[in-house]
Amino acid sequence: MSVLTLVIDWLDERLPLRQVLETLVKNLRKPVPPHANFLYTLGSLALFLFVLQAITGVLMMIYYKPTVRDAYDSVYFIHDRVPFGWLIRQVHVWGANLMVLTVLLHMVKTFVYGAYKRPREVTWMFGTILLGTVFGFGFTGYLLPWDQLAYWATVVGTEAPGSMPVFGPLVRELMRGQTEVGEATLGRFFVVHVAVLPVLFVAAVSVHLILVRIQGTSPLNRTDEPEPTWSQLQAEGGHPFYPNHVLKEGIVAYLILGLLLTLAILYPLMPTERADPFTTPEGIKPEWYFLPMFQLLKYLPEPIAVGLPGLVAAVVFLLPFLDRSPERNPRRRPAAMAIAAGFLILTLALGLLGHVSETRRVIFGTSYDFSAKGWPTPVAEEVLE
Amino acid sequence: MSSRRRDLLSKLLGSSLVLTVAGLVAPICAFLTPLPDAELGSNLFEDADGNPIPPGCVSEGTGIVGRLAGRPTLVLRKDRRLFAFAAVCTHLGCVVRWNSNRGSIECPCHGGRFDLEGHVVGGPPPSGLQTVSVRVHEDRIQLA
Ligand code: HEM
Ligand code: FES
Repeated sequence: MSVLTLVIDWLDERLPLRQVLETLVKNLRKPVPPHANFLYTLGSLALFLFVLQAITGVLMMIYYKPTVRDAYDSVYFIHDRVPFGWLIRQVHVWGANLMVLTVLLHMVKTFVYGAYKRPREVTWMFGTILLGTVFGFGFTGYLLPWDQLAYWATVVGTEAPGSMPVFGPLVRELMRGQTEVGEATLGRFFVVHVAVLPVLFVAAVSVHLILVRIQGTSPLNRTDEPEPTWSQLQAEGGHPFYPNHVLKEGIVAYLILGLLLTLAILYPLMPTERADPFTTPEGIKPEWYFLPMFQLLKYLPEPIAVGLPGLVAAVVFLLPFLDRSPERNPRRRPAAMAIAAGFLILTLALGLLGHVSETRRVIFGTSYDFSAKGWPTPVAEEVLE
Repeated sequence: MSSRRRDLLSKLLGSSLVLTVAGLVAPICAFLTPLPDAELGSNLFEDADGNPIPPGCVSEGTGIVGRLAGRPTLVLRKDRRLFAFAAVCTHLGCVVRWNSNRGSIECPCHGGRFDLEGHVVGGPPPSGLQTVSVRVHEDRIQLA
């Protein structure tokens, strides 16, 4: 009798361990439908990136100091003086970007394959909560180095919700902890970033994953037809989740780890100058995933520009109850696909306008100055000496 | 036990639980409310490190942002007169600056512009900048 069996037997006398293990193994072996391609590894990739964020984040916490006086220098200290500090920090910064991208793509995939529909509504809702926490990580983490760009993006980002009626000012005060963005704000953002959000994230991801495994990967048939059974899935050519699909996930995780390290080493992202609460720099920008919202503020009056993303969030959260069509197959949901594509294109366009705004760019040999709203004007030829 | 007594007891139990939770939540809410802004700051015009900015530093046609009474404040000199304004833009909180070429106060974020009375003359700000009255006393700029 092996040691492992002995240990399991010992534990089994005290708690129904075998039963738990058997359910677990059974669920791990459940076949994944044949249409589950590489896009179905995006969720586990997000989880992998989160684990990397947690490891690199906890390591940086040893040296990072969340005070207005020390934050900026402590980030440079991590980068310049701590052995491999530059690598740990760059993996954290690039990992954050890749994680947001991964979670967004995962969401688009879930939408396209109709996997949010009955009976997986709760999984989808927990997914949107997870997206919220990831955005929260990004928003709070961005401020931590206390540099100019992040400081002023946070001033605007905390001021904008203040324009909402009733709760707006309260939300702004709670986020800032004082009138201006300052010491109190940094303290709050730090605690949310390293304590509150990680706990929320782990709790939400646990529910999300348990639901995913118990319900199995969503099939492509209509929601009013019964879901395929284990043997039907096998007959259709579905492979077991473990080891076949897990292997796919491992391959993707390795490729992305390679990409992440390459980006971290070849394209280090450094903070801009130290924050100066008396000087707003030209062309302040938030992280790329907040650019569409940020740009919206330049076109619409605040309450609308703030309310609109809130409305979108509510629609996304409640999507399984708003879209009641029983079809899952994207080919039979042309209207849903068209609306989503339209929304995505609009958002990307806004993001692009935000990206080029307040910069000078050369396009086909002509220089253009892009205004705050993103409109180009050709730059008059400069006379060369 | 009569059912009325049982009812009463469970109501009592229920309300004491609610009270306990409220008793726990209240101090948490209080803890989270922002502290009053440190002390109001001195009534002298100071730089970020708290050193007074003498009026000589604000030369004709220039403007400097510093702190006055705890608030970011723009002090500028035009036609030998000192003007002072609350420097936080009324739109989304960026800090305004003096543009000597155009002779107007401008916000770098969304192009808000203000005249020397603090009135909005362009851009999205919903209201003007508050003017602050200052005077020079013993080579210091101070709140009048
Ligand atoms: C779960 C545990 C996490 C911990 C303990 C942690 C900890 C930290 C610490 C100490 C910093 C400051 C050092 C620095 O700025 O270089 C930081 C920065 C940052 N974190 Fe995290 N983090 C965690 C997760 C995440 C996640 C999931 C994201 C994903 C969106 C994220 C995004 C960021 C960003 C964008 C920065 C700013 C980096 C910069 O510009 O320097 N973090 N984090
Ligand atoms: S913050 Fe000043 S114009 Fe928007």
